[in-house]
Amino acid sequence: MTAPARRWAFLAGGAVLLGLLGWAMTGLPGFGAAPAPVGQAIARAGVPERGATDIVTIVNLDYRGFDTIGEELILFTAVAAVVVLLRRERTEVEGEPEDIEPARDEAVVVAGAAIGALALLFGFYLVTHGQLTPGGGFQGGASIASGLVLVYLAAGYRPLARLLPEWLLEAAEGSGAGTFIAIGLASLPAGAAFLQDVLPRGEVGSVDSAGTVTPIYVAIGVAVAAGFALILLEILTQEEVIRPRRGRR
Amino acid sequence: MILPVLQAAVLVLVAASGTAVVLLRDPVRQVIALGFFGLQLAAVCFVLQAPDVALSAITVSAVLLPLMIVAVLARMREDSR
Repeated sequence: MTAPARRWAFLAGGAVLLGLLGWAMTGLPGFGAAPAPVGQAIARAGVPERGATDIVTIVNLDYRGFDTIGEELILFTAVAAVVVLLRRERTEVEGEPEDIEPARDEAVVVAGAAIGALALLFGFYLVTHGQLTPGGGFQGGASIASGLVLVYLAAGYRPLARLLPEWLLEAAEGSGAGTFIAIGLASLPAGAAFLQDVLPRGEVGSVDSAGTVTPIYVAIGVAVAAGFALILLEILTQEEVIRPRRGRR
Repeated sequence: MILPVLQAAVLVLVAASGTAVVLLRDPVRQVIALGFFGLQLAAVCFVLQAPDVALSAITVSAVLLPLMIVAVLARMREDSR
């Protein structure tokens, strides 16, 4: 097919798709009008029953906590796949980071340090206040990982590799995922279902108000931050330090 | 009155930055445009009253994804030297 013919084919298909999408949009319910009664029931019962003010977190961890275990294990598997793909092969050897990066500009160092510290603090806040404000373990862990990226931009590869050795990140990630499942199993001796919330509720609006939500989110936050940092460290190690083995094979 | 206008404006920005990512040719420039595109997606989520999704979208698609792509591009460039 010639290029103009391809372009006309795309335009025709795109016009049909646009028409169908527009027709579908006219059949949507209004913004904010939830047609299912489950949403109304959760919105009514969420705050007094579960003691939390962020309904999304309650749905994620309390009503549908089992699905969140699956999400956490997806992240765990992805990190494991990256670590396996970037493992040390026999044809590679670890060298010194080449001085291919220019001297870091002072503005980058200062900005990276300041904003990185703020990002880390904000990440800790998001993790621990998941049931009060929008946030939670996944979002907070990703924010902590962004703070670590800024630390890398400010300080370079060697300080980051020394601050976060691989064994520490791997242990943190595994123990975070394992703690989540252990908290779920800990409800069984109390006579409740797996992952059911059996801790006492505090007052609505305080950090300990929702039972097992905060410990679970702390575990998830640690696991997600360590997982992202491990991916980051593996890719940076592969790029800066690993060299093909020279000499005779 | 102001909310539909804000939603329309952010959606137009998403369309524009998405088109910009596609029309750029150099991968490094595409990565920067991708970061901006992720930020626009997060703005759409904020305006449509889904802040949890927006927080995840900001960190993943505006910080971590461009960094990973740039690191891989740097490695590929060095390997071809």
